Amino acid sequence: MIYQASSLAIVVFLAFVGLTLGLSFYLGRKARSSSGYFAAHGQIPWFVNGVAFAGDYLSAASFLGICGMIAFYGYDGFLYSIGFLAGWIVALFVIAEPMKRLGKFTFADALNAKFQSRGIQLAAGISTLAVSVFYLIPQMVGAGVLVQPLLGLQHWAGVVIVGAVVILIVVTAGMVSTTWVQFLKGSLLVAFSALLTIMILQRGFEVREGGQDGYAFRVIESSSDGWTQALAGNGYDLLVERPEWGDYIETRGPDGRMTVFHRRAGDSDQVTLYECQTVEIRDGTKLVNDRPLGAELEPDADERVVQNQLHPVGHISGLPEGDATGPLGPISFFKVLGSSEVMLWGTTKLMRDDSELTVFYPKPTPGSHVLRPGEHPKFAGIRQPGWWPKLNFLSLMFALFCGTASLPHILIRYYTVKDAAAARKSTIVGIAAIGFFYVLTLYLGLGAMTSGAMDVTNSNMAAPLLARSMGEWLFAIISAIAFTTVLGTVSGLILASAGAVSHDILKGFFNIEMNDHQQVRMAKIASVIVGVIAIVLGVLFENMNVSYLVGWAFSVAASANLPALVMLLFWKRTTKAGIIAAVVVGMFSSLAWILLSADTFAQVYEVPRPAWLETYVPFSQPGIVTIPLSFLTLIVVSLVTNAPPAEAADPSGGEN
Amino acid sequence: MSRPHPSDANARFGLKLFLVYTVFYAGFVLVSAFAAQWSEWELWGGLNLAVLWGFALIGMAFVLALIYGLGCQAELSDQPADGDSRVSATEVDGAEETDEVQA
Repeated sequence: MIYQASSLAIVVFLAFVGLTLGLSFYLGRKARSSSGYFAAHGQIPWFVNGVAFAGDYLSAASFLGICGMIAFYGYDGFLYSIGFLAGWIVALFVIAEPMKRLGKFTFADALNAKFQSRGIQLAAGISTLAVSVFYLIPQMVGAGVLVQPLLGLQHWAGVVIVGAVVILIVVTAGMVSTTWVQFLKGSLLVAFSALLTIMILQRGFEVREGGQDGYAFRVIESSSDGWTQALAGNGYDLLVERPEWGDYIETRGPDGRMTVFHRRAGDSDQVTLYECQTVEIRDGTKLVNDRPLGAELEPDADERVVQNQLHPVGHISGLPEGDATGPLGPISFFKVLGSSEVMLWGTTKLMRDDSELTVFYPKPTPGSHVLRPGEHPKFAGIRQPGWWPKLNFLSLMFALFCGTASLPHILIRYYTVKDAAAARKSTIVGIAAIGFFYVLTLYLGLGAMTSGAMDVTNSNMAAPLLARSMGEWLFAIISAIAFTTVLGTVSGLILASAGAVSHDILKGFFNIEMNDHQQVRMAKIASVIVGVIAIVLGVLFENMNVSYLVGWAFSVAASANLPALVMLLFWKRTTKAGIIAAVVVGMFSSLAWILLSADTFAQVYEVPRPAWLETYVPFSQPGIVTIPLSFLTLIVVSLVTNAPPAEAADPSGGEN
Repeated sequence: MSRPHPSDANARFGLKLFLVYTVFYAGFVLVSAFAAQWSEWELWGGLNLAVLWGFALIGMAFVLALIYGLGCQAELSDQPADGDSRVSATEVDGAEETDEVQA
């Protein structure tokens, strides 16, 4: 689709950025000491901290990725919502209070509270950096995705803008400004998502033949041996027989365009031909539906100039009764959708002469299928025979469950409140805000799916485009909130990374003597460096799927951090060698598994995977293997290194 | 029997609630993975098992969190503060069996 900058969106966006930066500079004077910079002096009110948890946690993956996945595949995106929230149970019931009691500034502090080991400080510091960088990539990619429709700029420009603003926020006031930016973002995100959900329910469902631009996609019914005549009867001539295309048919339409139809067999002797959309690069020109992208077409009914582009998609093609439902309740929304037919869209690539033709084809889907798991290609294996796809699914859900309580940028938020009770209360507020938002994601995603406003090439834009279908004001505000969403999460990640570099690695491991002021200065320098690295990675990984990358970050965090933290708290015989080994093995085994997985070969390297890897890495999600491996490593190494009784007797000895 | 330190009791209480939720979550994941067809069962008000269970998991997280928060507060109010801010949950292993939550 062609996105044009919305002046309203730009004004709202600039207002948001101005507000957050103003807040940062105003609060900067409160963060001159290391305690102020890293932990806001532990003086953040628990309610504010709880909402800031939501602002920190509800990243681009939650708002853009999950809504987009639900909009394109249905319930499968909601599985991420469930897993992301379930992880907070581990955080609250197992981790929250001990983290607050044992640590000071960073996750490594808590892990090292008992042993005061430089090795633990280094391993935990590196693990923090690895997880934060993995998590930063999708956030920056999400920023680039957002800036295109919002400001009409290129992807890289969005990444640079976010990077620059975040560096300013973090450098000026550290955790103080980061907390208030996250509080602001968390409140606005939940409030406006609720408003959007109410509007979706008020709008209800309506049967259409296409998207919001009014274009009706052709659907031609025929007998199985008479479809060529049926096409001709509708003005479409078969252009070339292409047996290698299978059920895709190349025709010339009444308007002279090359038009592709997708043939689907019906119940008996019937077939249905569905009009597709195409994108092709030919002689250096990008052709959309066989016309140059952006070419002027005939004016519409209101005499407005129309540019050639992909038509927006996503509509209800059949309701149980009538053509429109009117307003729906939160329960009847699912009941009606489950009895309807929804037009989803799939993508395939075909070779047309010497050029590659990307075909977007409609998939009429029973509404009941978008309300069950297993429609997304990555989850489809749970409905098929074979163990590996099921294990892959279990592995992802296990990593999401264990990952939240291991994310360094979440863990450091426990140090911004005054005591363990405040940490507990702020986690409960966080669970309420985050849980409410995740319930809304199902309405938002399904509302987007049926809004007629989806960009068939970009699922990450589902939520902002849904808002645009409701009105320009809402689009401007939701886009600006989404941008702030990225700012809030990236700020937390860069702060966690800066703490790992200055506090854990330089001061803790290399024993570089720094006074309080120097430590803050070093953290600010580290923030700038990590910020620049994040900008570069955000540009390089432009085409990666946002939600999927976050899934990987969870796997690395859960494998490297959680076993060490849990065993330190609950197993007396844990030794420092055991902790170091668990962190290192968990981190490297999960990273290696990801880098050797079929998904990485397909999406990142874009080369065929060696067959022998199929034996050793048979599915893509590492958690179900690497988290137990990290636990096992800690147990074995701790038993071998044979902790002296004195060491085991005082589990929390050492300076805080 | 001596009463446990508040943090020990909170840790035990938290672990029990954690186990309850884990069973509920594991059930959902296992059904989705190995009996995905069950998730289409329409149970109540036109909602299928997948949607109901998903919402229930989110709602249950909040309810258990509230129970935990209320239980811990009640327990804490009974205990004199002793200034020990470095007690680890590891010590729970060695603590005497007692009623964890004392309202």
